Formats: sequence, C-alpha cells, structure tokens
Amino acid sequence: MSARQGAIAQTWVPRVAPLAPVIAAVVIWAVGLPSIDVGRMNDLGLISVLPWNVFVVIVILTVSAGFQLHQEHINTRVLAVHVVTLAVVMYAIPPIVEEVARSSVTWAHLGFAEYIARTGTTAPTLEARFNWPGFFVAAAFIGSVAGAGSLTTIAEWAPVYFNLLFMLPLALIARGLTRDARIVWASLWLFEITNWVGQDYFAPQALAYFMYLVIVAVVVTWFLVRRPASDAIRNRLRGMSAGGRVLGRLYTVLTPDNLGGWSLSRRQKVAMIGVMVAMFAFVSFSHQLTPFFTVAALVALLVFNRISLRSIPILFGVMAVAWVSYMTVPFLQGHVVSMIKEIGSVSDTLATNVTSRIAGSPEHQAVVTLRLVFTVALWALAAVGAVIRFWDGKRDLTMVLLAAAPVPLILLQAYGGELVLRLYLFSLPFVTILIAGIVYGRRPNPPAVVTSVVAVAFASAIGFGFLVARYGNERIDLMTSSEVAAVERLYEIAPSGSLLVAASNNLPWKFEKFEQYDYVPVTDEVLIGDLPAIADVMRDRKYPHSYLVLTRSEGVYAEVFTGLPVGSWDRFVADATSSPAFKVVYRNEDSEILVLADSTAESIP
Amino acid sequence: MTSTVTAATTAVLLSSSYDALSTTVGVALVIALSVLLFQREATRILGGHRAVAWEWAFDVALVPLLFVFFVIVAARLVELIV
Repeated sequence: MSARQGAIAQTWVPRVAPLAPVIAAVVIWAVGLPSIDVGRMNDLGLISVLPWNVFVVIVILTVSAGFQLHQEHINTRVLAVHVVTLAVVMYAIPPIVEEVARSSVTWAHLGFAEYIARTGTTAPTLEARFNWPGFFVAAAFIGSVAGAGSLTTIAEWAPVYFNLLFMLPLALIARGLTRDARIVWASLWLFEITNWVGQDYFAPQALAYFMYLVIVAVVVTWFLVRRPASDAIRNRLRGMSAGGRVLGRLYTVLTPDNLGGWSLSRRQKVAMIGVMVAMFAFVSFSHQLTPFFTVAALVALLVFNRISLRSIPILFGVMAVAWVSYMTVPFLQGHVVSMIKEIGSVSDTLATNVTSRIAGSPEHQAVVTLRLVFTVALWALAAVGAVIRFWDGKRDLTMVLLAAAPVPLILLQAYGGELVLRLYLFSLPFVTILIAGIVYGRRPNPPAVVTSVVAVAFASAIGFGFLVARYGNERIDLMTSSEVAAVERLYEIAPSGSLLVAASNNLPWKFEKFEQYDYVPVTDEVLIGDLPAIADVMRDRKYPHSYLVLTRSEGVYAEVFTGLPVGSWDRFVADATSSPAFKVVYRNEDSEILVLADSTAESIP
Repeated sequence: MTSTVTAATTAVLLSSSYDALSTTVGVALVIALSVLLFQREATRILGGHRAVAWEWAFDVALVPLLFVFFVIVAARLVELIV
C-alpha cells in the first residue's frame, strides 16, 4: 500500500465505517421488500406479511445507533444518517409495496383539493373540513403546479416526508430543552418508533402538527426565560428543619434553567415572532384542534413563567377563537349543541376514545390492546423519567408542562373518538425526551455498557411493537388499483346528482367531483344482508340514478371492525350480484358496481 | 366633533342588522386586537427607555378590546344555540 493509499485509508475508513451497518441495513431491507404480499395480510396488519429482513434491519440500526450513542464523542452526522434511515425503513414500506395511496380518507382529501383546483372556491356547507381549508388550498396549489396526477404520488409518500420534516423542529425542541446531545438523538429515535397514531398521512393534521412543532421549537430555542437558581435561596430552603431537602429541590425545578444556547438580536426576535404569527394563522385556517393544542402549550409555559413572551399566547388565543367564531359558522350550526354537551364529559370521552375501540375481530382487538399498553407504558416511563430527573436536580419543568399541556383538552370534547390519539401525538415530543433522559441524562454519561445494551434491547422491542401498533389497521387502509379503477369508471358514467351507495366509507372514492354526488353508507343493512332495504335506499326518487359500489376494502372493514365472519362478505356480494333486484354494470377483480334491475343506467364498458 | 362622532356611530349601529354589526365590528376588533398584541410584544422585545410606558398604553386599549371580543364571541355562540 502506497503512502497516499494509506493516508486515504486512515482518513476515510473511520468516516465510512460507522455507516457500514446503515448501508447493510438498507440493502437487507430492500432485498426483503419484494417478498411482501399485502394481499395475504390478516387482521394483525402489515406485520403478518413482513419478512424477517425488516426485523433484522430494526435490530441492526438500533444496535448501531446505540453504539454511536455510547461513544465518548458522538458523531452527529452519523447519527443523523441513522435517524433518516430509520424513518425511511419504518414509514416507506406501504408506499413501496402497495399499489396506490393507502386509506380512504387520503382519497377524500385528494377530492377536496381537486374541488378547490377545479372551482377556485371551498364548500363549507357541503363538507365540514372545508371550514378549515388551509391544507386543501395548499394541496390544490401544489396539484396545479406539479400536475394533479403527481398529487396522488405526493399523498402516497406523505408519511415518509412528514416524519422526515418533523425531525427538524423536534431536534430544535430537544436542543432547546437539554444540552445533552445524546438525549437529543435518542429522543428523535424514540419519536420515530413510537409515532404509531398515523396522523402523518395526507391530511391537515400532519401539516398543522409540523407547524405546531416549529412554533414550539422557536419558543423553546429563543424565548425561554433563562434564569439561574439562586444558591442563597436554595441553601436557606435546605437549611429548614422540616422538608427542607424537598423544598430545595422544588425550588430548583421551578426556577427556569439557564441552558445558554443560540441568541438573536432584538430585531431578529421580532421577525421570528412575525413568522410564528404567520404560521399560527395558517394553522388556525387549516385544522380544528391544533390551534388549541398550541395555545394550551404556550399558556402553560406563560403561567409558570417559562417563556419571555407575554402577549403572543393571548394573540394566538384570539386568532383561534376568532376563526372558529367567524369562519366556521356552517360547521357550528350543525354541531355546536353536541359540542357543548361534550364539555366536561370526560368519562364519555374516554369511553368513545378507548373502550369502544376494543371491538371487531380477535386479532384487531389484540392490536388495539397493544396500542393501549404501548401508550400507557410510554406515559408511565415519561413520568418515571421526570421523577428521576427531578431527583437528580434537573430543572425539566418546561418539558413536563409541554407534555401535560394537551391533557386539559380532554375536558372539552371527544373529537369523534380521536382525542386521546391527539393527546398522545402532541405530548410525544416531550415524552420521548423524558424517556431518553432516563438512560442518557444520568451519570456516567455515556452510560455503562449494561445500561446501553438494555436500552438497545428495549428500543428494538419498541420498534417491533411499533410495527403492530402503527400498521395494525393496514388491511383496512390498503386500497388497490382495481378499486380506484372501478370508482374512476363510475365517475365517468354516473350523471351528476346520482346517489352512490356503499357498505361503508372505507373505499377510495370522493377523489373527484365529490360535490356532484350524494354518498350513503348502508353498513347495518349489509351486516344483516338485507338486500331489499338497500334497494329501497337506492330507489329514492330524488336521484336520477343510484349505484351500489361493493369493493374489497369495504368487506375487510366489515370483517375487522364489526366482526363480520370471514366469508360473509363474499356471500353478500354473491347474493347481491345474483339478486333479481340488481344488475351488475361493472366488475373487476376487487369491485362490483350494481344498479337497480329496473334502472336505465347503462353498463360500464 | 365628539357629538358628531357619537351621532354617526349611533346611526350606524341602529341602521345595521345584528349579523352585519357582529361581523363588521367583530372583524375590525379582531384586527385591532391582533395588531395591538403583536405591537405590544414587539415593543417589549425592542426595549428602549419608553418601552414600559408604551406597554401601559397598549394595555389601556387591549383590556377593553379583549373584554368586548369575548362578549361578541359569546353573543355569536348564544345566537347559534338559540
């Protein structure tokens, strides 16, 4: 080996070697993907068809990241590559192995964007979500610039790029709340493997959540009150005979920490506030809940004197309330009474959000139970982390306040049974920091080898659990190109004003001309196989034509969520297609479209 | 001057429907509140020897405006329920 080659080896080998496990993991992962047959999924979801490669990759990446975090001097670039790779490994499987964008809601959201692009306006009286149209307006704009077809691809890959986007403000938040780089990277890792709630698809929540994270990141980076605790006061408290030790610790915790960090000039700070206000305006314009989670977080920090901002939390509150009060009147007219009834009904909210979800097939109930255990265990660990750090004299009240700030919203409403999911989502960034602190926030740092090994084993186990919790509904969320093709053909021939009937809303429809049709799910009739009742619904004289759309994903939904016995859906479809009351006008491998036998609607070529 | 403004204001208020009033006055109020709250924060941050005096001045305008804002919001809510 020449001197030059030796020099190159000495320079590059130490740089590239830490990435070797990542490269190996990506290769193993990519090799395993073609063997995934999503059509064979059972009610446990994607994990039931994942090859061994994915599990091995999780272990390789976790061990490698754990090794990096165990080094005396951690390499942030190498850890960044690990975190990005983990995000791709965990979130890119569905867009790669599935034919089209997952989840029926994604297709409806594409339809809302299509409506705005086509008409140049919104329709708040037709669709409640149009009362907060910001995301759909942005999507329509992107669709018109990039092409409507590309919007479908953008929607398909949303979980991947949103989770990558989340990393930027999350890193800033962790950096603003702790100076320990190990906690920062470990918390990012934990976030990736615990964000199971799936609110990162093509939806207003994902974009609004990103903006919430940016606002919180700006606040904790540049607007935290930084005031060192007074040794004199602490010593005086500790000198007290009764409870002095506890009071001393309490004083330390309640005094804002002086973590130093990046500073801005006064003018830059004002400009930064301007950016925050603009972002919050977009959040208020885009999503129902996120503005209130943002206000709750800022008010919690303001009340406990953690932030130097005084008027901005009030300004955000005014903006959020003003939007709801003035711009969502069509929504309020239909919902205000029920919303007021939900205020304070915590037990009802918990029942809607938790207990009523444990239903459906046995495998699905196992998935839901695992999610509950996952959630409670993480919150419990975060509580343990907070207590340990409190005991160690760390002043983490800001983290605890931000983690707890979403909780009071449970007093306000059930949010259609999804509020607990949102509480989890909005507390997650701070919960993961508190958990990471259990391992990396204590002495010795880096921790002992045994501690690191236990942490890696624990993180690997969470990674496996994530695959169940996150993708436990994948059989329901899976949409096929045949189903999309059937609905596209339906939209081509169904006259405007027609009635479209389906067993549930779980199919890829409403993605174009959604306002021109009425959509009716006939779930109860399908469950008892009452074909005459379905025919009665379709016979409504109000509509020129009625179409019954039966697709694979509707059958899966009925089996998983309502516990319809396996095979019942196929029997129902066979009964419907052979019934003299209906005639089949279109059929492909995953879908049938039927009309009433006496209908003048033509067959779809 | 004062009596002219008062008369004009009274005339405008009496000649408008509740909806029109609630919307126009309410929106103007929201804009004024937003501008003043932002301005107050900016003044605090930019500092200067008169910053505290300015904060007091902003508070004199903000407190009644906030009160009226919540009254209007409550009235709109009640109207929706009733």
